[in-house]
Amino acid sequence: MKKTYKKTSIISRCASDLFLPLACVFGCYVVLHGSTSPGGGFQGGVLVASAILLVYLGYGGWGVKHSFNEHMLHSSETVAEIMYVVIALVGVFTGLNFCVNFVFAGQQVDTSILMNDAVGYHVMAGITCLLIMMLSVLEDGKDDPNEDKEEDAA
Amino acid sequence: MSGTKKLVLTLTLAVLLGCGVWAGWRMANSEPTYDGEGVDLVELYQDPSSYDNTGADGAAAIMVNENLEKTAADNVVFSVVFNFRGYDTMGESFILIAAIAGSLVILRKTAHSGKKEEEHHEENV
Repeated sequence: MKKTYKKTSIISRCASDLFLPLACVFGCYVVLHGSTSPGGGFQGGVLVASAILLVYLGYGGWGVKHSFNEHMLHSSETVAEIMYVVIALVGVFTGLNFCVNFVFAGQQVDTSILMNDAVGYHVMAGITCLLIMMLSVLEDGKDDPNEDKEEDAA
Repeated sequence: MSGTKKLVLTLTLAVLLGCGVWAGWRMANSEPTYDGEGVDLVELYQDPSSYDNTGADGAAAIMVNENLEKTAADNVVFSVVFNFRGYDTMGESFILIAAIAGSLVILRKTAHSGKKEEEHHEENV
């Protein structure tokens, strides 16, 4: 570990370690239960994306940089949107409307649950990408002294 | 812009305008759908289950009455958001993509300009 990060207090680190899995699990629960309960893709995706703020509180900009890949998130956002459009277009190819339940109507199978999951994935990736960019702007002012320290150590 | 392009653009806009005017004229002439005539709001507030929507027609009544047969979704709100108004949800997702792309452009620019300033600083030193 070449770059040493500025240690935050142990209370915030332990609290972020404790609440990070809880936040992720609760967000995924809201996404997957969107078909039967209040909530859904948008709300659950934002709940999952708020996990990055816990990482930032616990480990600072160093932890955010080393645990998230911004480019992969930005492209997976597009992948999720393509998933949504493809699932919705299958209804057109079976001779029905856009976004319609293409499995035989009357059965307890709803295909829009998959669209809900796609929206959840999309919002999770998008908001996380947005928060990474905002936090990088926040960290820009602190970059210069760190680089000076590295040069001194080298 | 060349002459043929202008002609095609004008024709397309004229056809769209004509379609809009015709649709508005038809909608104005058609009979009103459920307008809530004869509904007492105080009684409805005291006993919501007495609300009678069997006489209603239009898209809202279909969404409420035939939801389970058409979409097999347990939740009416969910079926409206992802089945009846699927285009709307798709548009919201594209708005999110556009917003993130725009903020990416703005925030990336500051990072590049910062690097350039550092390079100039090194050159000056």
